Amino acid sequence: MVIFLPFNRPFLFLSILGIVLTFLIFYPVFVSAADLMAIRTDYPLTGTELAQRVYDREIGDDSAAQMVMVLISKSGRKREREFTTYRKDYGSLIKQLIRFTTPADIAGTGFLNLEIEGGDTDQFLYLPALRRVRRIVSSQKSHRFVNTDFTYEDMERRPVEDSDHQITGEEKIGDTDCWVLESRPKKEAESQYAVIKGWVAKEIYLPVLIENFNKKGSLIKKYRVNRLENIQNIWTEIKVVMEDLNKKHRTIMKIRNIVYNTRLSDHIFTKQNLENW
Amino acid sequence: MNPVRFLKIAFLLFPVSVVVFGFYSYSWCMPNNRISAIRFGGHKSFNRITIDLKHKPRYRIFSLKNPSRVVVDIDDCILPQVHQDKNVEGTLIVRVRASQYSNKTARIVLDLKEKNQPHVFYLPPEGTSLHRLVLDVKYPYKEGRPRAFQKLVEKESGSASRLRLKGKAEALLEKNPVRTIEPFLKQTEKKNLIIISDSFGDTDLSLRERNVPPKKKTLFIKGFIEAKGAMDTEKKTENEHRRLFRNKVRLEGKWSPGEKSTHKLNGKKDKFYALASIESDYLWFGSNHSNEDYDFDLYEGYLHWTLGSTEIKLGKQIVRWGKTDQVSPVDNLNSHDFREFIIPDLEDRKIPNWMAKIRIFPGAYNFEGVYIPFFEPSRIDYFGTDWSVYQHVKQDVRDLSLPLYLKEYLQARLVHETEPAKIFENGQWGVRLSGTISGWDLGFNYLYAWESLPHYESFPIKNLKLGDSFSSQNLLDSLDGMALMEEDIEVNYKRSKICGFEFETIANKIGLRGEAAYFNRQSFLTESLTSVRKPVFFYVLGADYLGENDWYINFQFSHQIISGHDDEILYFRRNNVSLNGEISKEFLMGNLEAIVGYHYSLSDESYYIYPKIIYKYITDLEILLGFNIFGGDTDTFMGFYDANDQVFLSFKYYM
Repeated sequence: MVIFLPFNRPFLFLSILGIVLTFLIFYPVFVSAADLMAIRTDYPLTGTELAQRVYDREIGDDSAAQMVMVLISKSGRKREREFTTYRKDYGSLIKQLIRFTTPADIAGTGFLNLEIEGGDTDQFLYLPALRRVRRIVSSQKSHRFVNTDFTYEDMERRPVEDSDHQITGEEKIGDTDCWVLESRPKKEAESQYAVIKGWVAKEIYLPVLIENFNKKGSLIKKYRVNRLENIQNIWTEIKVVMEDLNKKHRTIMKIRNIVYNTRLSDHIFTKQNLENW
Repeated sequence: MNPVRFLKIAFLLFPVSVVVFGFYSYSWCMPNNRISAIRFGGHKSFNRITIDLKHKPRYRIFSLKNPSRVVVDIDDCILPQVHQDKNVEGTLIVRVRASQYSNKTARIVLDLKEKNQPHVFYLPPEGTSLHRLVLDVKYPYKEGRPRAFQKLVEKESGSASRLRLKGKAEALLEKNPVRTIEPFLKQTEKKNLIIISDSFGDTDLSLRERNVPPKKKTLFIKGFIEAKGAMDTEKKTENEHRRLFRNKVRLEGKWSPGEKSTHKLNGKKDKFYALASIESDYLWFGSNHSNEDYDFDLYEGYLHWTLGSTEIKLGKQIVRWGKTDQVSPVDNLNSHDFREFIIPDLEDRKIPNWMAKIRIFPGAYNFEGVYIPFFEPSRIDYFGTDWSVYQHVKQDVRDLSLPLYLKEYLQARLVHETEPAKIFENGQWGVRLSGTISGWDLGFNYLYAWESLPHYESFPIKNLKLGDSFSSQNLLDSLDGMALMEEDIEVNYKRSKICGFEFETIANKIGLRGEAAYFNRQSFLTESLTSVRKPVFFYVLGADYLGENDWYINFQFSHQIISGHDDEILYFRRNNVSLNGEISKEFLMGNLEAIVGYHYSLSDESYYIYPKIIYKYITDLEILLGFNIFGGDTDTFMGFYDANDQVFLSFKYYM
């Protein structure tokens, strides 16, 4: 009795079986490799390096600015708020004071933000009606900053190591050549976003467009720099817009006046000064 | 295969394998990266350490204390004898040390003069440059020049020494050359303006405005108009007021002459300003036998100087001590307007007083001294309103069937107040020391003051025993056998010494705060309608939390202990324990806020609950709708006002 076998030699059979098994075992690796080959990786810098350059870009030792915020609702109704902001670098730590000047119902309200060692922040609030400075909890990251479309997370500097970064392309925004940088916040960063996709202007390392995606992968907020100016050799976002795509609500933030490196007094960033309105 | 031949081949191949494998192992174990040079550079705003490497580095960075050091470990890297720049005097970096920390780790240590966290970044090869790891140590102060140069400038600030300074500075800079560094941020060769325009965003704001210098105003005017109407939810007593209307208009002017003479944004100049505000306050209770008050007065008026680390404020003002909300045992500098009891917020109840305040803050600590020359009592009504001490007793007596002489006697009783004479010795003064230690804001204070609430020295009906609380009926029921004297109700004010402590901190995401105060004596009304004085210890502990989705929770626990408590004291027990706070949530991007405030006494189960809705959709206008609900037995502090539940609507327009 002859039993038909496709392979007349067991060795050949075992070899082919081995190849098939090897392929099956390493199939995910091949797929990943194929995916990797599809992504261009020959950029002159890595995503992390680009994020670091964005983080480290020159913003002056200190600055003082008069700014205006316009909140625009879905129906087009506008509310305007003006404030003055002072910032000063103390090594790698930053101190910042924000004082609202209009409208009348919030005029005098002040925020003092003091970065301290270890990545923490001391925050103080002064409400003229209370007549005292109140230490407040470093706000929930996803909490809106004075009811604008900016959250506290949007306003703060994101440490580079809090996210994984990858350059995914090069595109033009307007006439500006940009790197496309995808940042995925790590779990411990407690970000409200799953992916932050930024278009970083080449040469000046400044994000001019940011799209924020939630954990479901939906685009929820869009930030755009509409105007940049080189002031005292520092590229400055003169007019930016943040849009909440779900609420159809926008906040425009505009600098009316800004000066850098004026040797701001340390006294500005004290609780005593916060009380003096 | 012949086994002997196999062994021979194996014997020959073994050393070859060892050599080949060993070579590859060695190659594999050897660090890939290599430090070529460590260079020291500088700039007016920072010192720079540049580490040249063969490949892109993998590195870790951490700080050490005593002395301050920053350590950079570069993985998979060898450190041969490389060129190292020597340390440069007058910088933040004392020296730079480099060593082979382990087989595969090179370590660079920056010894710093003071604590600093450098910026670290990587630069890829460019032209003839290698891979570079760059550490920028920024000057934490002023202009960022080398400290020695900075000190020199500070020392030699006189104009006469300008030439000398120039020479020394140049010499110093020559000695410590600021090296030309490769620019991290390349200056773009494009124009200095980028406008990224598309349909996104909004172009309504004129961009030309940016070049318009800010208006330099020296006089700022602001104020508000507030109108509030309230109505009782039900009629519980015959003569109570069922309606309330209050109108306040305040106009405030602030004159800051320094705003014009200095750059508004530099914040450096010593600051002087004068502030004055006037207030019109109309309060009406009705409609039955209505009662009204009208005041038009200077509300606040003071001069303020900040001279370096000293601050002086002279005039009529409000000074807040303490940290807790609504119930604040250490906040005793200003008296209160209690004509609506505690319905207005603590801040709105305060009455400005003439004071001289000095505050000195040389460093982390803050010393404050206050002198109050003229006594200002709290405002209360004695008769004729729902919130007054004796409420509607005169109207009740008029309506009841009583002997005429008794009616006339009771209706003729008046309150005779004696305030402390306006002499220097009768001034009040206080000191406060505050500061922050490891994230805890702490304060200690002492106040030598007058009690702002009256002390009832004598009541014309002698040997009175009211029972648990005051009411018209209780009073009339207690009159049998009493001696009715033809005299007024004598009221005066007593001295009080108060030692206080306060704190505020953050634990995780919860704000914690508290106060404790010891009063050597406080006056309490007794059932004979005269006062007794007892030592009191009062503390409050509170926590608040701002949650996701705009929820806010504030919770406070307070405990008042009356030492040597007397059973004749009305409304207060020996231990008075209560909870107070609020729960709120914002809606419609903050345009609508719902708040439930509460004050609940655990000791006597009385309560005051005040739910309200604030609508702020229209700019500068606040519309408030809410309830004030009191409950409890009539012998309790809150229950005494049980008949006064009301609904209210108020409008406040800010100008």
